[in-house]
Amino acid sequence: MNLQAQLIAKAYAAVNAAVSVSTPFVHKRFHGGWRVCRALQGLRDAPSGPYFARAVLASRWRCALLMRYVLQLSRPQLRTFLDDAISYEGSSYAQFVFNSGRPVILAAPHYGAAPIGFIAAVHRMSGRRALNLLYDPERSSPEVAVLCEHGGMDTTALLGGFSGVLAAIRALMRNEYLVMMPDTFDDIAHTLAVPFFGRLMRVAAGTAFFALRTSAWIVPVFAAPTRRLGLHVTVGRPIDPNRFAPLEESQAIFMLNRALFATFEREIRRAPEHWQNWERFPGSSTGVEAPGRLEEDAPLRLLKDRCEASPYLLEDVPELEPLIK
Amino acid sequence: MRRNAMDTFDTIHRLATERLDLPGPRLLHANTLSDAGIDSLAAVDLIFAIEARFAITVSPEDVGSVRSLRDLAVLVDRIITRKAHCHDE
Repeated sequence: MNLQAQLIAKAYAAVNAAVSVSTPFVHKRFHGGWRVCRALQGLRDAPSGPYFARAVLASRWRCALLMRYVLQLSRPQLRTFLDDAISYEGSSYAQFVFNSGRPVILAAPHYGAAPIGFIAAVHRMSGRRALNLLYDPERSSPEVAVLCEHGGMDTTALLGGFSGVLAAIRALMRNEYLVMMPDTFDDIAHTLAVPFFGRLMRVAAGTAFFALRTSAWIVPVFAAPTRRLGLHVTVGRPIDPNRFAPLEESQAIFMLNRALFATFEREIRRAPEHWQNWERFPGSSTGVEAPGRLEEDAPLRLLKDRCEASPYLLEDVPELEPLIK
Repeated sequence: MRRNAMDTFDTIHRLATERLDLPGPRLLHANTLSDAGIDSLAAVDLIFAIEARFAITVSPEDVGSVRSLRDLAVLVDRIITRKAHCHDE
């Protein structure tokens, strides 16, 4: 192992101490953890406090160091790292999916070590099919492609957009793996809102669209850095899009995305410090009012108000008229 | 040749109107697919419909430069011509 990798390993071991020592002295504006806490301060039940702030910073530093570390490793060293330094959870649930003849979409929320997690999951499942990485062009990272190459995988990077989407669906039709991170909100023009942490969050419809069109299994993957140099990879229960296939397409896309984000939420609640989009979350989601007590005639009054505000409603649905009179 | 290009555009325009349930005039006057209300997922649906209608295969590399329905029509014509050449040879 080269000197740089050894130094990174030593720095990784010292992250906790470094975070504890530096937190009191770093201005809150420059402290990733406190920035997250500030972004979430108006949200109900959001994680907060000094412990969380430190955990966020530690997770970010660990992920950055881990990425640098694995890029220093040779192919055999990376294989050893994947075997020895990564613990797995839930992989037995997903094994049958990787052995099936159907395509697989590996979907992960934005965790800093997600790229290593994808490689680890495929390595663990002994997947030998080609791996396609679907990226937002603005977020593309050449390091990830290098990492996959080191992992000995036949990897293709697809940079979003029309051609990326077409390439992704073609890859799934060839029964290959597609890797994507659906919790992106840069372009809200073609997104849908799903329940997430008690709010409605705008998410891209792509994952569900691909799965429904190609019958691809969706396997959620979470890769959290551990205290010792390594990762804990949780492979979520695979989601079968065929469950939703009988529904009308837009409804099926919503239901499938909802199921995926429910899985994301469950896992993020276990260790919220690893999700990297907390700062963007309040701006990309809308709060949902808790349901109040309804008076008996409240729904009818609401209907009457709606009909008065939009007279064409009564023209389109004349059956409403006796109800509101 | 010019006549063929117009036919292709008309066919694609009709496919987009029918498959994507978009108003025809909007599709005609839009400068880009996005202006026409066609996002990347809808565009993929349109490509599949075009492939079935013209019996061609559109590769992801081909669509990299497509910005509008007219670009798409030009591309489809090019692929049809290429295919015809291959058959001739």
